[in-house]
Amino acid sequence: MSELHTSTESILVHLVRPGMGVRDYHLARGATLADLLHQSKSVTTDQTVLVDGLPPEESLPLREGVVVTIVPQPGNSSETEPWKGTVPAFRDEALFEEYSEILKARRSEDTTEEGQGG
Amino acid sequence: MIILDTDALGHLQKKDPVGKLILDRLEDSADREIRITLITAFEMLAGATALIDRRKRDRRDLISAFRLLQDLVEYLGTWRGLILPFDPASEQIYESLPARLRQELKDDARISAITLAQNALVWTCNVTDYDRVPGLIVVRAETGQRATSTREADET
Repeated sequence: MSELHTSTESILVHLVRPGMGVRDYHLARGATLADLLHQSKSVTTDQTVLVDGLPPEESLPLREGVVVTIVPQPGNSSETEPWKGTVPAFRDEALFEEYSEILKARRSEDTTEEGQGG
Repeated sequence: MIILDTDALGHLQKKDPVGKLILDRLEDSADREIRITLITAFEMLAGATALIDRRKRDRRDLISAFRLLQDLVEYLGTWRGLILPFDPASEQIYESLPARLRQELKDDARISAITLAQNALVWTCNVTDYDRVPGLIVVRAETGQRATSTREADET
């Protein structure tokens, strides 16, 4: 959890995401839901976003102490058809390149035990 | 049953142009039994942990590397119940493959063995390697078409 601030220039917002628990964000007063999603790098594809339990407008300014929750949409396609899902970290091209390079290197490694005894 | 290999799944995960083609072909397919194998899960997670190890060694950004591992773990969770094991039947088929093929195909040989054990089709972008496995039905993932066999006598 982030340290609490009492500044009147910022507001404290709680963000709840599956697998990540609750995280607190300090945003400038007047910040919108879109600002929070951008700052928290939240991915909302196939997800439902709720503000204090209600569907919001992205342009609506957030208020002090609000709880923003991101939950999977019930029965969304990626639950029943997982091949439609994506890996958000793969959007980081440099990271993806490095990961792909490691996968290729692992595949070309000379694993001497492979195929032995057959 | 369709089994997506590691490479095909990687394109789908990134939803790059090839991944979009594969997704369209899957949408068109009458076969709705779509699976991956534990070998693919192993390769993906091993790649992510190797990335973390490399960055630890090089004292580079670990946050994004761990985030990648977390995203992969969560992604694999969406496949719960649809990940085929490397079981005794697969092991038996794997052991029956020519030694040279096992050495060259490595984990792709295990994916092939699982596919044969399940009487399934393997969907891949890497047709050339899989097509060397005797009896395996290989589908080019980008087109959804069965690969034209160029299989050689690879049983030495």
